Amino acid sequence: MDASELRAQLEALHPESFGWALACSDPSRAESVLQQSYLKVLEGRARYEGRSSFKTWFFGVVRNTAREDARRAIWRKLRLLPQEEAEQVSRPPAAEDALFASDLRRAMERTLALLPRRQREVLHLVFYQELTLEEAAVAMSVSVGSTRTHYERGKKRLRELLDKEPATRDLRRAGA
Amino acid sequence: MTYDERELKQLYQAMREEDARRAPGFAQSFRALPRHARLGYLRAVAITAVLAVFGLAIAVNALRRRDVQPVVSVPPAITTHEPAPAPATAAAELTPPKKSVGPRRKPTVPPISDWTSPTASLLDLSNDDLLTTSPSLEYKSAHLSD
Repeated sequence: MDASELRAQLEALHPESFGWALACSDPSRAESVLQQSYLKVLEGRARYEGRSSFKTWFFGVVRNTAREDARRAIWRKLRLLPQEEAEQVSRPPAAEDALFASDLRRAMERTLALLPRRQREVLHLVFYQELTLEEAAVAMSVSVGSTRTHYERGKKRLRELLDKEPATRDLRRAGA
Repeated sequence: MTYDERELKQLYQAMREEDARRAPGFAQSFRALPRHARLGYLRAVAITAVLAVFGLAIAVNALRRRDVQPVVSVPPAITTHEPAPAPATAAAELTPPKKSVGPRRKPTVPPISDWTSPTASLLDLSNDDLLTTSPSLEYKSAHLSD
């Protein structure tokens, strides 16, 4: 796959990749993690070999980059690395549901933060990214059996937590 | 009432739509910022390496100072008839040698046969030969004949 094909694939996946970077890392670091992942791919430090779909392979790269970035957080705290500021440009959301969506986003972030990391990741990959469990296993670099276990436990725990979260009940009532 | 899978997916899709509105542009994400981050990481690694080399040099130097101890030979309390040792030699014995890199030097100890008592001069007598020689029979017979 040459550079132009790689860039085209990455551009097509960009919104979903950003969502995955938000789920894998600290939200304030998501754009930086995504940029580092792009750089890895374009500089050949991460090579796509066709063993899985490009999306699941790249999601694995983003996940590994997020973990490396988290490990380097201590260097940033010691001021040995520059404090990067991700410049995020957001288009103004639709006026009628902008506030509601923000409350929902915050509520989901609060709820998901209470789940173990693996459960949080597999639920995101299945419900947000609409991957199968097999594809999620590739992106997370774990076995399909482990992925299924994390998925079932994560779903059960998420339901318990959402029952106590008022913001998500509003969405339910709106959809009913 | 617990959430079914359709409702869970609905929540996630709402999040996805909001994230898509907030996501930065793809072209914007190709700024040089990640390259600066790599330089910063290299800087952190370089600083750590320099500090490690510096610490190693301090540790090696401290070990070398401990191994090389100054050698000060104690001059023996000797009073002999022999001429006094040359001042240069005495000075050399009293002066500690310069510190040099090498194995530990043992202090020089004169042999015990060279030692004499400090009060030996008190025993110097004019007729020392009486004490150092034993009387002979020829001497006694001469006196008896008188």
